[in-house]
Order: sequence, then structure tokens, then C-alpha cells
Amino acid sequence: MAVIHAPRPIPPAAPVAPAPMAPPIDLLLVEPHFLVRRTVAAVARDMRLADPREVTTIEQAEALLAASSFDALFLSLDEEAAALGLMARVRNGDTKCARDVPIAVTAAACATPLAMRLKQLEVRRLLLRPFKVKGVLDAIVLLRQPSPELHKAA
Amino acid sequence: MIPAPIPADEERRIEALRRMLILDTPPEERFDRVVSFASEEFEMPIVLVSLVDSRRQWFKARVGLEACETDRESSFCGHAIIQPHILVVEDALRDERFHDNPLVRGAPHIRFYAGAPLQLPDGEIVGTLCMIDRKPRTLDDVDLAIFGSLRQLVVSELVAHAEVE
Repeated sequence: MAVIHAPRPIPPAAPVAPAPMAPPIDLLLVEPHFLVRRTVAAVARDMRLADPREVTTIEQAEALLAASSFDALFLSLDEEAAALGLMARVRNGDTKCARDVPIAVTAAACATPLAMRLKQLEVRRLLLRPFKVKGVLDAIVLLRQPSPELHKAA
Repeated sequence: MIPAPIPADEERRIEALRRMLILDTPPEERFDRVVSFASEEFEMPIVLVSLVDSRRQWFKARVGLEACETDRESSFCGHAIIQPHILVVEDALRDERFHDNPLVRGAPHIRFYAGAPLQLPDGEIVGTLCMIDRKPRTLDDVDLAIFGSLRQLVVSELVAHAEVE
């Protein structure tokens, strides 16, 4: 089975926006690893990139998405089937979020079927473990940018 | 070499450190995981949680270093704790405080050092979370923000430890 090791590699020198003018976005961050989650959330807040809501499981994310809207989602695929199901429901408009909410994901590996599914779900960025916190922050910067569809409409 | 200076509040600082009852205690996973994480995130060969005692620096957690303590006089962390900001020495051979330091001229051959002071809620700085490399390095603003965030996690664990004790 083909494995895509770095479908969208981040260049080492890719800068994180140092002082964005736009206000922080409401970000739902689903990450089971304590240090990754806390560090990403703290630095994203410090840099005013995002105001993350931190959860550790897709079940917790489901509950939040049933009640609240977010500007972007950052999901771990540790619970792959549940996470894909949740993203499908988001894209179908079955949550409080906009259907085209920007989504980034992290995964341990990404074989071709998963890569194709993520493309169908219009996932903007995939980070493969082990990744750097800096890479996650770069991905959050990407989530802040308008979607290509919005560019076209503008 | 300029020996590590003694902070003005040294007596209170040492009292705060010893009140925590953490010196010479066994390794703990909650500190070990932070140094391991920092070592991987920044690709640093040596990362330490260093507590600066009256005559030594003792390492509560360490990656990449066998020694569990070194003398305070030649310690970089002894310099870092005299103020609350992260101390970055990009190339120790070009820094008058450290160029002829035995830890630079000999093992572990420090060239790069970054030390984030561990300041307790009462203001006392008891040590550092520090990263060391054997080649010159720099940290950008994002690196410093990540490093500072990890420092806060160590401080939270120290405070939790003190409350348990």
C-alpha cells in the first residue's frame, strides 16, 4: 500500500505571521497529546493567532460543534473513523459550523485512500507525526486565510 | 569566565527552593516529558530542568547529560536566574561571560544556551528550563514563544509539587 509521507510539506523557513492584524479566530483544537495541545494553545493565544478551545476526543468535539460555531477546526486523526465522520457531518451542514469551515488534521500516517478522503472533505492541511509545534502554528496561519472559493467570489 | 552572579534576593530564593522539598528527589515523568518534548521540538541535544541551589545546579529532569549536578559558579543557569527573561547565548565562544568557561572549553562543550527562568508565583526564581547545543544556534520569536510556554508548564508542575508537599 502506498504511503504518502509528506503530502504537503512545510518549508523549514515558512514564517508564522508575527503580529497578525486580524483578531484571533475561534479554533476548535482536538489533540490528545497533552504537551502538544497545551503548547499550541498557549502560543496561538500569545501570538493572537487563535483563541483555541481544547478537547482531547472527537466525542467532546461533537458535543461542542452541536452547540457552538468555530472559525476553524484542527483535528487529530487518532480516532480516524470518528474524525472522518465528524468532518463529513460538518461538510453536510449538520453542525453549528459553516459547511466550508477551514479544517486541518494531524495523522500518524496517510495512505492513498485516506489522502483521497481528506481531499474530498476539503481538508486544507495534513501534518504527519512527528510534527513540530511550529508546523501546527503555520497550519493555523493557513486556516486564518480566506478559502479559495471566497477569493473567487471576492 | 565571569562567575555566576548572586541575585540580590538570594536568601529568599534559596528558602523558596528548599521549601519545595524537591532537591535530590527522584526523576518524575511530568518533568521528564517536558525536557524530552523540548529536545525533539527544537532538536537540541541537551535539555534540563535546572534548580539553582546555593553552591550547585541540580537537574530535576535531563536529556543528553549524564551529570545530575554541576557547580554553580560555572553554570550558565546561574546567570539566567538573575532576571526573569529568557537568556539566549547564541555562541558561548563569542561571549565574554562564557568563552573560557570549563563547560565550554571541555565537556559538554556548550556553544549555544537558552535558559528560561522558572519564576514562582511569589516572584522567586528557583532555576531554569534550559536548552544546550554544541554548535551556535539562534531562536526566532516563535521559538521563544514555544520555549516560554514550555517553561510555564514546568512552573505549573513545580507549584503543584510544592502544594502536594
